[in-house]
Amino acid sequence: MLELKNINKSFEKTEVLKDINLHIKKGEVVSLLGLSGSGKSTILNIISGFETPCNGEVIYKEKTLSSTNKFIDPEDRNIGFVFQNYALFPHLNVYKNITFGINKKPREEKDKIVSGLLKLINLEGYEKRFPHELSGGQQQRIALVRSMALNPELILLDEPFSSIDSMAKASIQKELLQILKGSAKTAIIVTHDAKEAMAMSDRIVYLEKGKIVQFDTPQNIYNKPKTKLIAKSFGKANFIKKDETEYCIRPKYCTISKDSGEYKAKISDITNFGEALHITISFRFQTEDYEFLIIDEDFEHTYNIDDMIYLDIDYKKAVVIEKS
Amino acid sequence: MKFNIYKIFSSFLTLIIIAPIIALFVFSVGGSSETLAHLYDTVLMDYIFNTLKLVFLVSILSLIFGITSAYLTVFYNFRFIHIFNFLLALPFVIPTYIMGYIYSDILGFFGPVHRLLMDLGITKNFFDVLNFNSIVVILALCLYPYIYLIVKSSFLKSSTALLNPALSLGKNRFELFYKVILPLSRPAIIGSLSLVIMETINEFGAVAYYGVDTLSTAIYASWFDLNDPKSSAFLSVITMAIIFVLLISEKYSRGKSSYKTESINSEIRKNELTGFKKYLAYLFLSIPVTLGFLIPFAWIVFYSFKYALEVIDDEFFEVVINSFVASTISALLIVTIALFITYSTRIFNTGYMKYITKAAGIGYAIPSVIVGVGVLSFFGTADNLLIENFGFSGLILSGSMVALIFGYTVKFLAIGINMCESNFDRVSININKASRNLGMSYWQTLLRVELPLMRKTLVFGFLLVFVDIIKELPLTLILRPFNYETLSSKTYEYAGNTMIQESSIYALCIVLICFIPVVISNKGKN
Repeated sequence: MLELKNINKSFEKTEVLKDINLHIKKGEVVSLLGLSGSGKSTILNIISGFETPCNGEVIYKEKTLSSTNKFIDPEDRNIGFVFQNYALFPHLNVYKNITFGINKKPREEKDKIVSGLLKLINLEGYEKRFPHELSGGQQQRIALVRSMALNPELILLDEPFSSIDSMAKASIQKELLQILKGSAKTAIIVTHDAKEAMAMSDRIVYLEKGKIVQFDTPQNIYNKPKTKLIAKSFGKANFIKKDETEYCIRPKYCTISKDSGEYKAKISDITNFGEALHITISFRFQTEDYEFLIIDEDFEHTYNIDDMIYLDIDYKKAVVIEKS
Repeated sequence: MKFNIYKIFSSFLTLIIIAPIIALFVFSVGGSSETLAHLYDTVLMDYIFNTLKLVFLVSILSLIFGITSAYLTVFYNFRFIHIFNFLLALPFVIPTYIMGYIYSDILGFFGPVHRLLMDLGITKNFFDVLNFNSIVVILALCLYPYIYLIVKSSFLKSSTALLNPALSLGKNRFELFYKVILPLSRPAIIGSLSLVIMETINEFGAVAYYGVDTLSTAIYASWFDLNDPKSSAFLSVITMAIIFVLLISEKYSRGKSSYKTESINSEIRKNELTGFKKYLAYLFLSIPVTLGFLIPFAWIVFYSFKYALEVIDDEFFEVVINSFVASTISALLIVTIALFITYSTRIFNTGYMKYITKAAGIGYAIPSVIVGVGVLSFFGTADNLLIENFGFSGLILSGSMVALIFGYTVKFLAIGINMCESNFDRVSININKASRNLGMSYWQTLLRVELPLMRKTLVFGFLLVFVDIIKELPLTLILRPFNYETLSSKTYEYAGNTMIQESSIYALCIVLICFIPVVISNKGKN
């Protein structure tokens, strides 16, 4: 469906993307995840045609959109784009926003498309409202169906939940995913929120400093993170070096007891989060000092700061971290 | 590589706009060393000294009027403050040359003040106003609103988050003013002061009338009275160098200091002025308001009615129509060019395109007289080429409306550019991208999305440019076709023929037109 081959992009002397290779299948929802400045939005801009790659190719539905000697303008690509903060035209009502790109079609056809799309997002009857009369979630849904009015097979979404408060986010994410899946669209979502990426995507692309460091399913990324940064992005993680190999161990695979264990450690901090106790322990192994986080959900034992305890690590569940 | 019409055409337009300035440099290089040596030996240093002295004194007086008025109206409360708030900005509507003519009439030998003194038996003429000191006061009265309005807006933004701790740390109001408020408003003070300085260097009509020799008057006199274009070009280059040095030092004086404060979340607490202090404030604020607006405006209205029947004839209507036609065509052209250039830099803001708007707006920083002689140099050369190579006869460009409209465009394009840039800044670039993503070209996006969003402020921008052109004097005098009169040139002509009172109806037209942006701004605030 969409292929990026050896894409490189620099802004003046700053290299933003390095050798990006991606292949996205039809109907897939893929998230681009990474820290600010990792190049996520630049990838979207290159796919949509708002940026030209320095070299490499963008191939969509077996047609080259960008290459060293070819460039198709954004207006001729028919790839949907939902912008950060939605970019709804403030002077046009919902009907005119949605029909903006299909203005030349006959009125009856436009009416049919608009009512179908508004039905899809449960906003029937909103045709005459202006963007400022809509809530953040409603604006986002209008922006989504506006991008679908030209019936593109691929939709790009740039930080689609950045303007939505955290309380409403989960339900809106679910709704958006249902719409995308229900209409069999392929989608690429840019986000810096790992939880959002986990909830929304079939696969996640993790970017660090303009390079793809991992492209995998959410479960694999969580369980087998390739770098420390990825491991930390997807949840609490402890790291330990054993015989020149660095391991990542999730706190749930670390246990502590007062009686016996592999490593002798001291409790340095305890924080009660209500649902669990977060216990920080420190110990020395081989030549290095470590701090591990233990999550105690049972509240069975009573621990105090400075208590000496024992730590056991389930190395079968540990993941080897790639050397950077 | 695709042919990019936006980049190419906006670069071409910018090149045309700055061509007169380039022409002046080229022209001045060709000046004979004899002329230059003669200029240096005789009048050059006097011109420079006079200009710098004028700039210095006008700046001091404008700062006193502007900052004190802003301080009193922002941090204190007293009766009639709303009236002062409105009136203090109004000297803006009276162009400097009109103010100059009015005071020469009021305080002149045949003026009402002198007549009153004679009636009282005082026969000595105390008010020989046609001198350097008078022009300092007149320019300060006309130009202090720049400082008043910009610094006032900066004072209003002074964060209470900073002012309240300063008060709680035991600082009194005066210490608070010069230790916290003034330093925080430094960019606004310096910025508005540079506008005053630029306008002072730019000034031609009033200084010429009062017989003060500055670089502006010298450039005009060299070209038109002495018929020495090379010297005129050379003086223009020196003036531009002075302005350049001033602008650069203003930029560097800012250094790396940060003047940003948290946005205000509560209104500034005003102190009530009572008793003696209140009357002192009234007295101080009444000076710029009375001298800068009430007296000249009353004079204009009075003599307009007195001479209306004598002056309003076919020629008057012809002059009004001329002014409107020239200003409307120029303002439309300016807004269109500014829109095209700023839109091009909005969508292709890389490489040299980043500097295009700055280059195209350079004319605003250059005195009108220089722009005028620059256009004459450029068009004069172009006319010669047309005559020699294509067999044309006469001054097709430099002697026609084309030169006048082009001159206005070079001078005032910066206003249009600033207006368009601030408009575009308010519309997210994602709006443009969204439209393109939905199948629209750049051109369609501008017409269907961005222009409708900017419509009202573009009209306001058009009006601002229109008003500036209507009151523009030196450019009009230099570039108008033979016998083509406008409101400003006619006012100048009457004043030059010692018929100042008869010029009042033309001055009234200019002043009433200058009210338009003030009224719209106030309406916008409400």
